[in-house]
This record gives sequence, C-alpha cells and structure tokens, in this order.
Amino acid sequence: MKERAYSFGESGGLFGVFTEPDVPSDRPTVILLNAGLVHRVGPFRINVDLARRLAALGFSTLRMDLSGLGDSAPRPGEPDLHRRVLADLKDAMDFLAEKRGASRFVVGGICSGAINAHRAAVADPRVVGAIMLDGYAYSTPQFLLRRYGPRLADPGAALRFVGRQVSNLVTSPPAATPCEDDEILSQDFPPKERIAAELRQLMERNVALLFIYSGNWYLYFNYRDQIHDNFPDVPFGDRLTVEHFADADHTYTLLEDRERLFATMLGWMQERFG
Amino acid sequence: MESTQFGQPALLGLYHPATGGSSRGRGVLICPPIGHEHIRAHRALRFLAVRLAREGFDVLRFDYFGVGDSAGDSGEAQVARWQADVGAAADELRALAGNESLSVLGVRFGATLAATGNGLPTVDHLVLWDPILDGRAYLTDMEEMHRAMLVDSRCFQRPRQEQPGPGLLGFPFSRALRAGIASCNLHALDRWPSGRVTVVKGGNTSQVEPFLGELRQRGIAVAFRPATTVVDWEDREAVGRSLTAGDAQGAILAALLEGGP
Repeated sequence: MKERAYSFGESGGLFGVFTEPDVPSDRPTVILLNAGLVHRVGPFRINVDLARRLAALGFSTLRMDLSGLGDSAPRPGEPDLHRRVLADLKDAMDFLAEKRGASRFVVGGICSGAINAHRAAVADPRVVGAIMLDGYAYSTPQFLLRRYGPRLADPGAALRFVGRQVSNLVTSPPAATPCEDDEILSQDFPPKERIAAELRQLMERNVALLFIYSGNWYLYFNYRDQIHDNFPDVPFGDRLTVEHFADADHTYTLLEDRERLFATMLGWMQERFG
Repeated sequence: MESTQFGQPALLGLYHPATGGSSRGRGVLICPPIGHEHIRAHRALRFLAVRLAREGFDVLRFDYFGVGDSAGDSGEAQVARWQADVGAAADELRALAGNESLSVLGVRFGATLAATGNGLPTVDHLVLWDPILDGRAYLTDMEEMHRAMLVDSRCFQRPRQEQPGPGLLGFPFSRALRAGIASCNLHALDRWPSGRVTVVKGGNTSQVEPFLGELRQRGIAVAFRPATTVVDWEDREAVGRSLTAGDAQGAILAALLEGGP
C-alpha cells in the first residue's frame, strides 16, 4: 500500500491523500468526502482506515477536502454550495483520470458527505457507485408507526409525549437534530419527487448504491425497507443495498460498530466491483 | 501550503512557509493534540498556521504515527514513538526552512509530548496551549466521558454495554499507550527542552500558577497568557465538533511574536 498527498484542481487549492494498492488494478477509484466540517481523515479516522483496507482489496482511494474545508482553499467566484461541491468533485475526477488513468469512481461519505456523493453521482457519468451513510430518507406510514407507535400504545407515555410537544411549541425551539451545529448540514432534504427522478437516472446508468443508516438518524429513518417504500417507482433491482445499524451512533464512535460498518462497505465493494 | 512526508514509516507534514516576502527566519512547529481532540483541533490549527505564516514564521503542522494521515494504525500508537516524532518533525522543519531558530507550540497532550520528548532539540521558546499536565488525570477524564457517552440517548438509541477493549472516545488506546500517557507528568519533569515557556490557557486557571512556580524553580523563564475563550475539551457533547480557538489564537500569536518571556 502506498500513500501520497496531492494538491490539485484549477488553482491547486484542493487537497487530498491518495492511497493505492501495491499492485495497480482497473477497479473503480473511491473518493471519500468530508463529513460536515471534519477534515478528510473522517470522524475518528474512518476514511484513513477505510482507504487502507480498500487498498488491501485492490482499490485506490482519494480522501479529499472540499474547497473551504480541511486543508483545501476556498473556491473563489462560486458562492453556490452545490455548484462548488460539484466543481470540486469534477476537479478530483479529472485529476485522478489524468494522473492515475482512473475512469470509473465510487463516491462516499457520511451525512453531508452522503448528500454530496448523491449529487456527484447524478452529475457525473463516471460515477458507477455511491456509498451514503445517513443520507436522504423520507417519512412513510410504517416509519411513523415505528417512531410513535410505542408511545400511542402506552396512554401515559402518549400523554407525556403530547405534553412535551405542546410545551416545546409554546416555550422552546424545535428539538435538536444530529449535526445541528454543523452549518453545512443546515439544509432540508430536497422534495422526494426530485430525488426519485435522480435515482431513476442513476438506475438507468446502472449505478450501484449502498445506503447505510445509523440509529442516530432516527428522525429520518428507522427500518430497512424504508427506501424502497420511499421510492416504489424506482427500479432499483439488485443495484440498491440498504443496511441499518440501529445500535450505532452517527459517526460510529465505538470500535465494534466501526468494524461492522467496514465489513459491510468492504463486502459491498468486493461484491460489486471486485 | 506544501505537503511533505518524512520519517520511516512516513509521517505527513504540512508546511506553511512565511508569506509575503517577510520571513522572520524563525520556525514554529505545531504539535497537535491526540485522539478525538486531534480531529477537533485541525481547523483551528490550520487557521493558526496560516496566520503565523502571514506574520513571517515558517510553520510545520504534522500528524504523529498512527494519527491523522500519517502511517500506522491508530491501535499501534505509542507515546515513545510520538515523542520521537516531535524530534523528527523539528528536523524536518529545520531542513525545509533552513532556520536555526525554532519555537514549538504544543496543544493539549501535544504540549506534553513536546515537553517530554527526548528527540526534540533545545528550542527557543515553548508555547503550551491548554497543556495536559498530568497524563493519568487526563486518561481518567476521558474514561469518564466515554462511560457517560455510552448511556447518553443523544448518542445511542439504547444504552450500550461495550465489550471490554481499547476504545476511548472513538479511538483505540492500547494498554501500552495508556501506560505511556499515564507516565507523563509535567509537574515532575526536570529536563525541559527550552529555557522559555509560555502557557496559554482559558477557563479554570487555578493549576497554572503553581505549575509556573515549579518551572521558575527549575530556572525557566515563564509567562502566562490567559484566554477568555474557553475551549470545551472536557465536554462530552463536543466530541466530534470542530473547535474554535477564539482569543487563544491571538494569545499564542502574541507570545510567539514576542519570542518568549
């Protein structure tokens, strides 16, 4: 396994570390993105560990800082966050194509990284796979039943719950969400219909998707079939894999949770692209 | 900013040469914190390095072995190795910048490593930002934070019963690493790498004056620069959250510009 840091992009302002196996392969190159404001190593060094384990399986990886994050400079002249992210990822893919001959990419990230991975997959036909941890999910009847059902079954708990909600409405700001202090994440999910149309595009391009949700994402996701229920008209076939680690926190703080996460991601990469 | 790899296996360094053609001919080596605090401090230390370079310092940031982007698994980290890494980074900065004059900024346990590392040559000025004075107490604090996290419903839907193991706030701390950390105590340190030490600290400063007194007794010139910004190092809810240096940055900059007490 070899690692080297690179500055790249139009003005050399983007920064990342490239990890490659000792024996080059024609497998897709993985690009790992920032989780919120955390620099390229990822929460608790997840991206470093993942990149090195991927190299052992024959995959090269770039863990990069988007412009304005980590050690990457701000991108001048582009105030729109979404366009900036897409320009950064285009620069990364162009760089890897020129420098390493890479032509196919799998993009992955946690939270805001998942949202950015989705955007990159939609925007660039070179993306053949996306790994999204705690990304998009939308409410369904079963989601609501699972979330509120236990309270409704217990009259005392239901009354306390309603009381708290009324009290919150009258006296307090809305309940906290995970990552609430992260400015990058202070955005609502786009309309479900738009995401459905984009997922249909990805299926037409045969893009493989791995959606992983933690227990901390309970405000948005709480059962494995929820994505299929969200998008019944999207012909996922076997291109979508969903995993739910209900016990884990948002950034996989516990080592045992992280091992389960790695096993899932590495197994999926081997199965889809190995 | 230029990246550099040095040592074997390679450590990643990020070099910020003096900008604007106004080099002071003085290097600043930044020794970051460890564990979850390393990730929390990255952004603040990058801003600080850029600011110092604008002021004419040649600055090197780096990751210890098994930390950040450097080689090694997190579980293989050892205090002795980290202490040696500080010395290797100082050599790298001198090679890159060609300066003889070197100051070191150590943050949290990075301050402890900078002070205790045998590999560090004598330096002009040692600046300690919120230093860990007692490694054993530091471990105890982290273990308490970890236990509280396991039963916090904002982290886990159900309280977790973790298997006994090395995990501590997201990183593996092996027995050897814990023993190494516990053995570090700046109160008991006789041989310091600099005759000039500045402490920058916010919040509870009750331990600072006795510590400065200990240093004075060893013939070290000392200064204390209080910061009104209190970094929430011991706040479990802040684990994973990027920190803001606030006016500690200004205090550190002023200490380095002054060149020491």
